Amino acid sequence: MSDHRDRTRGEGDAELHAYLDDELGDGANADFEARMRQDPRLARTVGVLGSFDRWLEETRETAPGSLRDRVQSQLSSSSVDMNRTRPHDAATSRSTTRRWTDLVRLPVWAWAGAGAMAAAILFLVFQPQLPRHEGAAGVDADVLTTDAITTDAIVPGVAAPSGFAEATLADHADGASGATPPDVALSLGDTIRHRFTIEAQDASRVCLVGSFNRWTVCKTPLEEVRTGVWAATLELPRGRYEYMFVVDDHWVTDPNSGVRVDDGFGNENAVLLL
Amino acid sequence: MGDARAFDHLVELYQDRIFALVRRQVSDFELAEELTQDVFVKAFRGLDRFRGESRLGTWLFRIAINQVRDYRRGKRAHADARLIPLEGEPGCAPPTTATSAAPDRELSEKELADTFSRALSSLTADQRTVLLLRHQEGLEYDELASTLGISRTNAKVRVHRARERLLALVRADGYDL
Repeated sequence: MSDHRDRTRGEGDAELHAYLDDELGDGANADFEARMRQDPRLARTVGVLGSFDRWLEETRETAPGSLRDRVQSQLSSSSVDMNRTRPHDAATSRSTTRRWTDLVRLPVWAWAGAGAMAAAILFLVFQPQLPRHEGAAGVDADVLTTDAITTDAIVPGVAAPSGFAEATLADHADGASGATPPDVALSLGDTIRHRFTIEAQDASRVCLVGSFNRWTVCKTPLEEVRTGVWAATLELPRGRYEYMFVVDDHWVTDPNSGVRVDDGFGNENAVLLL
Repeated sequence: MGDARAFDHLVELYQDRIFALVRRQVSDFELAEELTQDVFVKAFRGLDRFRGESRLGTWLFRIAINQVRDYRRGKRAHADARLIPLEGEPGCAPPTTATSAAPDRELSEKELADTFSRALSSLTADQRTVLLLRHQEGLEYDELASTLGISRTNAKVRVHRARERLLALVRADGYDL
């Protein structure tokens, strides 16, 4: 007697799959069930696939209740004008300012001035270290000029990776607008603005993908700043990052990167040390 | 604001199905939540590109599949333990062989559950995706074809092959099928 495995060719037993898909007519259905009675292995096979469906159902997990709020929150925060203070940040900043002023009973404007001075001092302290980090990654030398710091557009949507201090781009956009509260100014020493560039003639889309954006394509698109030259500037907490560019769906190692690591699959990730 | 409310309703409608699909690819609950979140954010930003040629659900499934694929592609070099490995990837649990398992053993649901879990992680990305879309999400072949951007015939062939692969892995675990 031939069992159902004798019929297995390529996609398997066509009748079995048609039965599972409920695509057999009444007569063919009855014939197949007669086959199952004659062929215990075939019956067990159908049973196992039924068990598979039950297993999928029983082990299925539902979305956490927080998901909707998280989606709404992300959509809200990413659509805010980066030159304006987010309502949440404004509240936080005002609250922080009140606390500080209550402590020493100085007017807010005095602390704003002190914050600006603190930012300037911290920037001067950390500035000499920046070119060394930039050079290690082999990126644009002009990135950290004062001009680049103050005029580069920031790519939205890149948050601090886990394990680092919270430092969202929106927070630092506040600083760029000149309304820097003391707590934000102090964070300048913890993050570095970095410009990623790549030459890609005739590309229609270039994205930056790396450990800082959970390797999400294409969360961080580059802009074509001049013909064939693409760039994006991110503000990142100090640390070590690996990244690649995606040029029209092709993964490309940063040709300017001086430090690279083998990804184990025939390509190399560029390494950025900040 | 009307758009935001409508989109919130869409998230409510589809979040469990998208999460369930993503969760099968990811062993870490929080990562699955993050990836699902990213799916809906991408969907919101791409709503103007949704042309209505497919159902909203299949469009969301497509975004989810791409999201997991892109994340996996990016993380391949980093041995992210939070991703359930695919066939041939490091960490993929090899199925036990028929010679090492008792032949003709009874089909215990508990043992089968372990076998299914191992088998699912031994499939290719394509096989896992089509099996989940068909058997877990119950997509019709037309919907599956629309989600994957392939013909209905091709969708059927892929599901049949994935089932056969699953059965082969179950057999390799010692079940006499």
